[in-house]
Amino acid sequence: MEVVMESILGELNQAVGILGSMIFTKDGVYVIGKSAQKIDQDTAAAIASNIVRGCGAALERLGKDDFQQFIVESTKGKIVIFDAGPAYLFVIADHNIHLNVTILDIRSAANKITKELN
Amino acid sequence: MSDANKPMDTTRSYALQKRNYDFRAIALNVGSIKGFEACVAVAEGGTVVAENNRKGVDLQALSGSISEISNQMTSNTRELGIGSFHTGEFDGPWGHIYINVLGDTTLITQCDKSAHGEDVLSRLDRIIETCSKPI
Repeated sequence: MEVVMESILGELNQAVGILGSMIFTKDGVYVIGKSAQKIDQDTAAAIASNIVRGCGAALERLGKDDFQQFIVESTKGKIVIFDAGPAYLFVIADHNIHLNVTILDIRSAANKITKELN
Repeated sequence: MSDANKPMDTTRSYALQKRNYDFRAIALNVGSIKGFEACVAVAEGGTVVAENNRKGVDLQALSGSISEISNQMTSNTRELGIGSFHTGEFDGPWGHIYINVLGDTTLITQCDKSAHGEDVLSRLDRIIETCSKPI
């Protein structure tokens, strides 16, 4: 399964502007990831895990269950956390990408991950 | 092309410069967005500076939880090397929550499922630009 996941993330990372992608369980446990060279994988995984856990806990306090997607924009980049069945797909992207297009690649990867994990 | 159909400006000029925001006007105008439920503007320290609550949403819980995410994202995006967090959008089966960091204040907008993510973000952008002036 690990090889398949790596292949899905590798393919996703080929899309324009994607800097890295990771898979987390719904409670924020890191499963696997692939990043561009300029992103330190361990640091990114720790921060991403923190984000996934924080978002889940905060929404739960509001009585809102799982989220389907969380799109974050910052001055130099974007983050997309996408529901992938029993997991979340966490994607770091360049600031200049048009998410309207890239989200299709992310959704496709998330669907493949969902199928694989189910 | 009408304003509503223009692609979203990902530069979000208001996030890149210091502006004076009229949060009462923003909260009032955000109420015109389709699917709007509630919005609250929270300054640093948790002070509510403006609110508009159409659906009886628990604004204290909303502002507390989402401000926490906003603060977390502010430090985490810097640590990831992707600059300062300024916009967030949650989508779920329960609807949508939008976060706009405007200077020291966080604007949180909650909409129901009928709202369309991109449209709301574009409308929010325009309302924020209209209800603010560069310093």
